[in-house]
Amino acid sequence: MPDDNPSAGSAAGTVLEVRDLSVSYFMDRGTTLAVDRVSLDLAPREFLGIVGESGCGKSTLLFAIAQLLAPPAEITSGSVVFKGRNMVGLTDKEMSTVRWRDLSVVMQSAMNALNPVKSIGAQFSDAMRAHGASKGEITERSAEVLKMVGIDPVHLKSYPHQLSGGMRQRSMIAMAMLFTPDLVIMDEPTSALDVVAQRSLMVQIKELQEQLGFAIIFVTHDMSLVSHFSDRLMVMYGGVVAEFGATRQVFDAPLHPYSIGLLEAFPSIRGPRVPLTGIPGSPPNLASIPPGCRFAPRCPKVMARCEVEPPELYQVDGTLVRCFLHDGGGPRDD
Amino acid sequence: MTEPQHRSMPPALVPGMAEPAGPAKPGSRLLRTEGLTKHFKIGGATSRRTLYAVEDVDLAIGEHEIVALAGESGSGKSTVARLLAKLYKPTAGEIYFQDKPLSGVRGRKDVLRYRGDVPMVFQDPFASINPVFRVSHGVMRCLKLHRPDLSAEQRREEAERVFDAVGLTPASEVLQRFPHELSGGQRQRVGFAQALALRPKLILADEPVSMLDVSIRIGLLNLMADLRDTQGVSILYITHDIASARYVADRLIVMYAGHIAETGPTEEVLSRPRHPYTQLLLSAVPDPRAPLTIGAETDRGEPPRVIDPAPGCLFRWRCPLAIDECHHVTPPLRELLPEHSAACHVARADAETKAFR
Repeated sequence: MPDDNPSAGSAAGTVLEVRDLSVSYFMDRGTTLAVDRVSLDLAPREFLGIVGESGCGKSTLLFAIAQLLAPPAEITSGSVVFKGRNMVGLTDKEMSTVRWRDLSVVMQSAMNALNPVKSIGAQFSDAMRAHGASKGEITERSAEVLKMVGIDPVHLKSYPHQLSGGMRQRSMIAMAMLFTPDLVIMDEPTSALDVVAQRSLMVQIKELQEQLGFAIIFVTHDMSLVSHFSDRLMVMYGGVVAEFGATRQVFDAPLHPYSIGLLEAFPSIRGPRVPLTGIPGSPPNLASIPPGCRFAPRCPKVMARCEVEPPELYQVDGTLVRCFLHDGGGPRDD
Repeated sequence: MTEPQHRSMPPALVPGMAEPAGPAKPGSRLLRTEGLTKHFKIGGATSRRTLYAVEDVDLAIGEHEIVALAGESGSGKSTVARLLAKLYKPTAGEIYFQDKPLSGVRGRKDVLRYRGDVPMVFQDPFASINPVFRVSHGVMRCLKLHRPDLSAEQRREEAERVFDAVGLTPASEVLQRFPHELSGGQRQRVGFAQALALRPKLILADEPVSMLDVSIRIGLLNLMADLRDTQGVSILYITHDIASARYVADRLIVMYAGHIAETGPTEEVLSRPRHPYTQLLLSAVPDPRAPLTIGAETDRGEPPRVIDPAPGCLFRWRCPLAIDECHHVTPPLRELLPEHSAACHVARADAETKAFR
C-alpha cells in the first residue's frame, strides 16, 4: 500500500495535522509530561475517538490542539497545523479569528461552560458578533441551529438553569454549529447525562456531522460510547498513544494489552454473563515516568524487556500499537 | 410463553420477593417497604409546589442478595437509599427492617444499631474520606462507636480483617496510609471496609463505581459479589448503569419518576423487559459487541415532570404505546410473570409488547 500510515487520514486531504505534540505541566514540585509526542491527521468529515482513563492526557491533548492551554501547562514541542496554518504560538488575537468560525470546542460540563446570567440567545449572539455577523443573521442563524439540535427556538430567551442537562448540552453543540466549522472538538460532552439522553445525543451529533460535514475529535473515557460512531479510535495511556487504528478493527481485534483490558472491563448487556477481571493497579504517575513501557506494571503479558526499554509505535495491519508483542509486525508466541 | 402463575411459589423459597399483603415470613426478608413515599416542598416559603420524589414504592431485599435499583438521574433512586438509611423521614409509608417498623426505631442507641446494620457507601470516594487522617481513622471510629465491647487490640485485628476482606493488602500497611496515597478504586474499597467493620446486614451502595475509571470498576463489582458470598451481607446497589446491574445483581428494580416501573430477577427482566421504559433503557446501553439498534427517532430523553403530577403514567409522554387509560390512571405494579412485575397498562405477560428495541 502506498499510504498505509494509520495516523494519517484518507487521501482527500487533511483538516488537521498534529505532529509530535508534547505538553508539560511546569509545577513547583517538578514537571509532568502529560502528552508525549502525539501525532495524528484528521481528514474532512472524519470522526476520531480518543479514549483513555482519567489522567491519561486525553483532555490535555484536546486543549493543546485547540490552543486553550493555560499555565502551568505549556506545549513543549510539536505542531498543530489546522487548514494549512500552524496554530502553535499564535497570539490570542490571531486565534480568535479561527475560534467558533472554523474550529469550535464543546466542553464537558455545559453547566459550567454556559454563562448562568445570560440567556442562551445572548451567548449565541456574543459569539457571532465577535465575527462581525449582522443582527438579522444572528437572529436567523441562532434559531436555525437550535432547531437543528431539536430544541424549540423559544428557548433562545431561556437561561441555562431553565433547561435540562440534555438541553444544555445540546445548546452547547448548537453554539458550536453557529458558523459551519471544519472541526468540532468535543471533550466528554455526554458524560453528565444518563444513558438514554447520552445515546440520543450521540446519534444527533452523528446526524449533524453527516449533514454539515465537519470533522470531530471526540474524547471520552467510555470506549463503548464511540464504538458505533467514530471512524478511527486512539487509545491513550499515560500520555502516549497506546493504540491507534480503525474503530472496528480496534474493537474486533485489539492489539495492545491495555485496549484488550479496557474492552474486557465493562460488562455486556447481552450474551452470557461472564466473570470479568478489569485491569488491576492504577495509572502511572506522569511526574515520574518509568524507563520502560508505561503499562508494564499493570500488564498481564509483561516481559523483561518492557521494564527497561520504552516501546515504539509498531504498525500491524494498518493499526499502530505501542507494545513489544508486536515488534516486527505480529504477536510472538509466549 | 408461560402462563402467569400467580403466587404459585412458596414465599420462603423466593427470598426477597415482594409478596401481597399478609403477615411477613420471618427470615425470608431483611428489609421491605410498604407504600414508601417522599415529597419535597420546593420553591420559596409561600410556594405550594411539591416534588414527588418517591411515590408508593414497595420493595424488598432478602438476605445474601444484591438488589440493583436502576434509573436515570432524578428517578428517585438516591432518595430511596436515603429513606432506607434514615436520613430522610418518609412522607408516607413504612420501612420494615427484620419485620420491625423503622418508625419505631428512636433514641440514640436504637438508631446507632440500625445504622450499624444498614450502613451506606457513597458515590464519591474523594469526598467521603477525611483527607487529614490516616484511613485507619474512619474504621477505628466506626468500631469504637458501634462495637464498644472490643478492646483496642481486637479493634486493630478487626480493622485488618475488613481491609483484607475488601482486598486492601497488606492490611496493616494500607491502614497507615493517607487517603491521597490511594487511588480512587482503593478509596472506594476503604468505604466498603468501613461499612463492613460494622458487621452490617445490608449495605446501601449509592453509585459506588460511577466515579471510577472503567478499568477499575469491575474490581469493585466483583468485590460486592464477593462480600455477598463470603460475608453474607445484602447490598442495595444503586446505579444508572444497567449493564453493571446485570453483572452483579440478583434482582433488579427499575425506577422511573419516583415509581417502580419494573422489578424481578435481573436476567428475567433484562431478557424479557415488559415495561416500555425498561426497553428504552436497554436499547440505549452502548454495546460495542452488538450492532447499533437505536435510531434517530428514538426518544430525546427528556426528564419526566414530577412536580405536582396529575394522575396517569408519568412515562406516557415518551411512550409510543400509550393508550387513553395511561393519561388518567396511574398504573399499579402488577405481577405479570412469577416474580416479575411491571407498572404498565399495556404490558402483558404473554404477548411481546415492544416499544423500543
